Amino acid sequence: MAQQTASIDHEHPSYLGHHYDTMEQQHGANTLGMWAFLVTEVLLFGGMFAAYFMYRAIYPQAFIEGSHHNNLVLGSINTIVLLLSSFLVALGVRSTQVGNRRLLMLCLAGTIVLGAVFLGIKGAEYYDHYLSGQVPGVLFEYEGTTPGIAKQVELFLVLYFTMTATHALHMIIGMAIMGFLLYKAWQGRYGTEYFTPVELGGLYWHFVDLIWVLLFPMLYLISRHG
Amino acid sequence: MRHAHDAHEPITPVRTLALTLVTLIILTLATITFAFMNLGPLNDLAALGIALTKVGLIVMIFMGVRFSDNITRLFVVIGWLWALMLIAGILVDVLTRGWQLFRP
Repeated sequence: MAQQTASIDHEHPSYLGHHYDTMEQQHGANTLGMWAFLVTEVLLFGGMFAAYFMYRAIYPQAFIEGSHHNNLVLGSINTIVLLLSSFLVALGVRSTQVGNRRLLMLCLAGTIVLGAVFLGIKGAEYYDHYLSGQVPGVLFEYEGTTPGIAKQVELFLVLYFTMTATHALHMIIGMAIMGFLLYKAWQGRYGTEYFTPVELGGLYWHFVDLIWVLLFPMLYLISRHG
Repeated sequence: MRHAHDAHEPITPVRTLALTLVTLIILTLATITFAFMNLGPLNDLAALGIALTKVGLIVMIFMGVRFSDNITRLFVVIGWLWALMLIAGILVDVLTRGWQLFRP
């Protein structure tokens, strides 16, 4: 009976799930599912953003002072590195759609390299904070301009480290996803017929990029003219 | 415009992607420049406006939401809306704590 059902079933490509009628339907459901996941990620970072804006409203001076200890040159370079990587991912998705597997693999590899560059620069910034005694709770030596401000700057740094470390963790996961996609692309799994995983992995990478686009002005660019 | 088989969604031309990248980089340089100018309260507004423009470009073009169906767009918008409501609610509390509306 089961065999009979299978035989009268219409032809499904191996990459089309049995519960879907068409590729379009599967693609739409997968995209929606990925965005549902990304919404939970928005709320994860949204909670941290809310804490940041609350304390920034309460201690505006400490947030200006704290942010001026961040290395603007390295932060700016990292922003451009991430924007470039997002471009490569978008180009990679396009390459699959037009059937250029070689370019897809190059884009994915380039994205992993740029991700590593970002993390390397971020690591150098962390090391600078460590050398300057700007690690809250562990190694914090700070002489503020006004009494009592040191504790408030420490609070800024708590938010800085929490947000950038959570972001960096997402970068590492993103690089693992890119590595997985690169392996599958090398196996010839994706092409003009089927490229949903490349697209969904790309969505994750772009999301991590846009979180940094928001973090950069929040952590590096407060009242630089001051 | 060519169409890919897996979704029959339009394929973004390389030119559009490259222009988006260039715009994003220009906006980054603009927000850095503005931060060094004393614009008063406009400083925060400029930083926020540019950041949201960049997020919009990434979401619509790189993430391809301009090709997405309406239910997906609803999900995209609603997540940010909830986060915004959380932040707005907290700020309404914090920023008005000093107000003395009812003096004995």
